[in-house]
Amino acid sequence: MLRRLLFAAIVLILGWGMSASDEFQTVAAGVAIFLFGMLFLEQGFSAFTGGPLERVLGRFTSTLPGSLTFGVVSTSVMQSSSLVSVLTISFLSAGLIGLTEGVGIILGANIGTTTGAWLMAGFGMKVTISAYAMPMLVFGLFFSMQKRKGLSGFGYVLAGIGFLFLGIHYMKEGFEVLQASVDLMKYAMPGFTGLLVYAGLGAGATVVMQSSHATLMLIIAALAAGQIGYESALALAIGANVGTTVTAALGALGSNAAGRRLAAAHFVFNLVTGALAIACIGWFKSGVESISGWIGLAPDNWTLRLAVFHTLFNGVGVLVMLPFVGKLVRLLETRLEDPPPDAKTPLHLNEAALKLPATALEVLFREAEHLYDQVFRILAHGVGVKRGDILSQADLEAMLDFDPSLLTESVLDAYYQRVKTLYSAIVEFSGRAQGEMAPEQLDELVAIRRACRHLARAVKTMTSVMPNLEAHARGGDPAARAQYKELRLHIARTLRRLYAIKATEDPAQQFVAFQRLSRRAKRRDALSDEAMESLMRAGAISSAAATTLMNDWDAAREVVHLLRKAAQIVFVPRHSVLHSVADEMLTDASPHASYTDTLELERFVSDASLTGELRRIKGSKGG
Amino acid sequence: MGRKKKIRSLLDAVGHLFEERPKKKALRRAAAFREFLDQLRRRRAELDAQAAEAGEGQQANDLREDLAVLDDEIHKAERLLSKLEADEGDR
Repeated sequence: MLRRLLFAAIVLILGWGMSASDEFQTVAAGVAIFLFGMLFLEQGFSAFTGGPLERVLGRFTSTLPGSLTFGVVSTSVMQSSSLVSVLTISFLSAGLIGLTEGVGIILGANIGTTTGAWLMAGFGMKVTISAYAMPMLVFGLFFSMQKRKGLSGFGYVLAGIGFLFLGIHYMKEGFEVLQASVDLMKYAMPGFTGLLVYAGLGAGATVVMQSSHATLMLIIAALAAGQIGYESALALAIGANVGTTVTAALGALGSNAAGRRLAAAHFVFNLVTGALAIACIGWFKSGVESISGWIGLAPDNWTLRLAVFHTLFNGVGVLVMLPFVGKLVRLLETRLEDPPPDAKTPLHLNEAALKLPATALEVLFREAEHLYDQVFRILAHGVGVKRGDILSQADLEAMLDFDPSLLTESVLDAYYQRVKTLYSAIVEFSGRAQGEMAPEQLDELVAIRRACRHLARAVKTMTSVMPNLEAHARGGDPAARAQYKELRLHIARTLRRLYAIKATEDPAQQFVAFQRLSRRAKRRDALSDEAMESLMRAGAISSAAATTLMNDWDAAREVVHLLRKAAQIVFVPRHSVLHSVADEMLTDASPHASYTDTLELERFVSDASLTGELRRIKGSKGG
Repeated sequence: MGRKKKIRSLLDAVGHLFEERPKKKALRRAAAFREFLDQLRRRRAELDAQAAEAGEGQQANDLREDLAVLDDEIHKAERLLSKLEADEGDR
């Protein structure tokens, strides 16, 4: 409701202002063009988020000083603390960086964002900035229409800067003309009250425009035109710093607890820095005077003095807050927690991770692992063994006296209530994530979806075996009972061996283990075929029972095969060299492989967006 | 250098720029294969030592089977690597 009222009020004020004053219209248009430029700039830089930016972020943010430097440099280059915030929240919610490093980036971004004031005050106010804007817009738009992602991103950045310059030009012009008709200085409020009111105005303007940069440009333009006093400008700048945390908070809304913690840390930091700046405004002004004297600023160069103040109070804020980062992180980690994990709901998928292809892929991998855990539990209970027993070194054969108490829910119920819900969430999330992905990332995404489909199918296939398996667990024909025990043992051993592979870090060891598992499965298949033949020859089981058993053995083979194929995707870490060569080296040699792959190929034909995967599958089949 | 040659070399340079991406990808793949081959060979040496110590029995049989499979896989990886290197040379 409040949001709607605010929206209506802003529309009315803007409408009234623009109809009443041409100068206001020029300033408002300047702000609009400036914000449009910010959008272009963010769009342009996000073209580089598919790889380079994420690699830099991943490499340099392992320590607090590293992440602080990354925050300063990236925000200075991209001139958008919002984009850096969004990137950070995305990385944090995917678990790729820790909260301490995330806070470091945000602190750095607060310093980096002050470079905008320097550029505007030092360059934007002195030259005819619109003269640079025009060629930038022309070349920027031309480049942005190119197919290559890098060129198009560069075009957006160029056009973005062009629009920023044009916006600044209009803001400057608007205030200069306004000076002749209205004197806003008359409304200046002196003293501490004025400081608080202007800080509130600065925060409010930033919340509305969702950009502290735009507010700051507006302040500098008004200050240069003499429409606001130096002290009011300082208070407005402090307010803009607090208001910008709202952008980060909005970015964290769809995030998990990690993202919300970062937004809270950002808010606390900027609020404390703002309060400090207001409380010690006199000292800061003296500091600005001293620095301005050292660097030789003219006494009436108020705009550059504002830039000095902006950098000074943000720098002091970082210095004051740095010793408390650890404590703040611990406090936020205990206060803001994710809800307790639920088997039916995704553990890792979150809106913030969708902002970047790399983070989306990371959370998808983690969620696929979560699905594997669920499938593991369901299948273990299905064959009558506790999960813990499979993970231990205990003799599985001795544990296979079927324990019906483990089947608190049927495998079919578990499939619909746990597997299908998780699988659907993964498919839905991956569908939303794939739009911005590079071809190699798309291949990885398809592989994850394939692994999840294998897992879901493994459980579904298991449901067809369960009635006979339960019936023959204690009673029934002794020969058939022995065969069903073998079948259960086969699945239980596979689950145990797959978890051993998961625990292995060494790629060559993992590879050998996968090959050994595949070999054992083939040998097991041959043994069960042989056993069936001899049982029938000896008349130990009826032909009807034999065909049922053969069907169930086929289903069990399918389950084991699907589990192995899913594990080859989910259990091989993405940074592992085995992951890079998996397409060629981890081809499954099971007799079911060709059948399963044909089915997959048919399914992919209907999914036109996944052409990369189609090409790969077709290529590996020789056309 | 003649004018035609100059134009051709310029066009080649432009073409080369556009070929950079697949080339980098092929280079990365070849590097991954080289690293994987090294690791397979190291693992082979470890398994060889384990098989020598194991003597007879099921574990020794498993190890020997692993070794045989590993030899095949090493050959396969070598073949794939030389194919990648040949592709690299063609570019």
